[in-house]
Amino acid sequence: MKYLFVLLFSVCFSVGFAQQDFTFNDDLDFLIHLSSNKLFHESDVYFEQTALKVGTNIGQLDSLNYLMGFLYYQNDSLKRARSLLRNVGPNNPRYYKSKLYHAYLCMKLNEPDSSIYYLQKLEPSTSNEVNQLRDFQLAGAYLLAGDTRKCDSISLNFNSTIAVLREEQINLKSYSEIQKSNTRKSPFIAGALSAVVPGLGKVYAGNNAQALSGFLRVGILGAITVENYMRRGIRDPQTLLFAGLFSAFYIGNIWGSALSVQIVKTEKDLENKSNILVGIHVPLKKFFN
Amino acid sequence: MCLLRSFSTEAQSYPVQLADSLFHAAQYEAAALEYEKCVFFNKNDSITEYAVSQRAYSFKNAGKYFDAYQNFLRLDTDNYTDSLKCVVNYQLGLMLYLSNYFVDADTYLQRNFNLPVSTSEYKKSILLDVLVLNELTKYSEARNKLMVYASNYAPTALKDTIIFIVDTYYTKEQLPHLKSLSKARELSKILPGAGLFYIGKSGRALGNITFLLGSAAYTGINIYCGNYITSATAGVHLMRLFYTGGINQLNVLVPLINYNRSRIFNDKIKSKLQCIF
Repeated sequence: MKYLFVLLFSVCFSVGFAQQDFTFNDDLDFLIHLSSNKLFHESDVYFEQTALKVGTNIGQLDSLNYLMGFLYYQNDSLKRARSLLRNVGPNNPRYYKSKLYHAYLCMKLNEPDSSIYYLQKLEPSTSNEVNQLRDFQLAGAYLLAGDTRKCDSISLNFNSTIAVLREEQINLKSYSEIQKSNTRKSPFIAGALSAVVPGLGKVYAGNNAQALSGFLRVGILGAITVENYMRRGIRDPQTLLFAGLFSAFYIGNIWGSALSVQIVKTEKDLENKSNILVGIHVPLKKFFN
Repeated sequence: MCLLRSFSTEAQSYPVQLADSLFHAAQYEAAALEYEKCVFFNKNDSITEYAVSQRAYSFKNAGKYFDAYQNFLRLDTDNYTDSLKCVVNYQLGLMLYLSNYFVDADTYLQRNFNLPVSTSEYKKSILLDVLVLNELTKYSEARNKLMVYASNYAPTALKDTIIFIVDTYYTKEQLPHLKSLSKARELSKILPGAGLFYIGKSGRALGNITFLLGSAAYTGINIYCGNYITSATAGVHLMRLFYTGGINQLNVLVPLINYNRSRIFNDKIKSKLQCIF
């Protein structure tokens, strides 16, 4: 009877302690709870506490990094997500997913060179599809970095077996063509055209609304100057004032036309970059989901 | 086996002692995180409610008033007694007042006035609502509230002080003279500069009128001299700029003047009521 009581007591005691002592999964559950409620500051603090806890092994740390990385990614905290996904080790079953998302986040954060570096460093997977995805991402990263030649050379080997990837590979080639065509317009030609007819350079750059507005401004100031010159002569202060204003607007229009070539190019580049990023994200998401 | 079961169930609840000790050691942010753990790992409703309220108080003490508000909001007040509901509504109102969300603060405080209680939180709610109504520039309502407090709930020693505050500060002379934006704009539309005179910016008004008259004169002289293109373009453009500029600057000036005037008055009342709180 005495032994039975001791046994019962020890079982109770051990159960009590086992429940009090938090398991790694409990910590993970709590971290998910904090992040999904957008309590990021607290989840950061708790993440550090969990990671530094005695007994947390490398596999668990990898899982923590993977899980928290994706939670931050889903909540648009991209920089934090990127640093967490980078830390996922090769023994984790979701290693390639983490690495490819990490590379994608580098591109999204406007650091295609880092993306290229990490993708080149990434050792080939046993899965052919993962390798195809990696090559596709590498081509996209080169395109975002402005190296269309390397992008095209990788694109030559595109022969994906995944339908969604095949479609995006074709799109990537067209984005590469768009990027090449964006570099052709000259700011000097735009300036020269605006010197002949104010606003014409902006038409050449592809900005018709600004062209009309510039033409009207310079035209009206020109008309006022001519009127004042005809009635008051060249030495009249009002003539000089409007002549000065007209000159400033005329030169400004030439300068603006040269700049607008660059602005329009940047706008088109940005649109193209956003298309490339979407194109990279779609197969990544579909493949790993 | 029953003993074992009871031990097991007891053990499943995450202890609040650690969170409480952090709270008492004034480590409020760490305490808030520990209380959240208690909320997440406990199945017991009473412990959960306690942890949520303590988490809210932790944020309050840490000066994170909006976080505190969000946690007070998590409390399931349906099963609370009226006096407890009054406490929660008062805290919600206070946290929103401290976070500068005055309209919402008023909403929570109004809920207390429908409760059949006269606890200390109820009385504090009246005083807090006076401050909230001041911020909303509803001065006559604030005055009435203060009178209600003085006549029904104020301790005898403070009654005279409150009546003195009402009689001294809530008078036509002492209340801030706030300006109407729409009225100022209408005046400036009819007579340029009139809106600026109305809000007390005479210098700006004179400047606006001078520039407008100058541009009108410039247009007229150009018409007289036969410079029709100049008058129709440069002259009219200048006139339009000074006319619309005189009206549009009111959008910035009127709220700024009103804010400064009400701020002085509201701060004065706040400091007077602080001793009563």
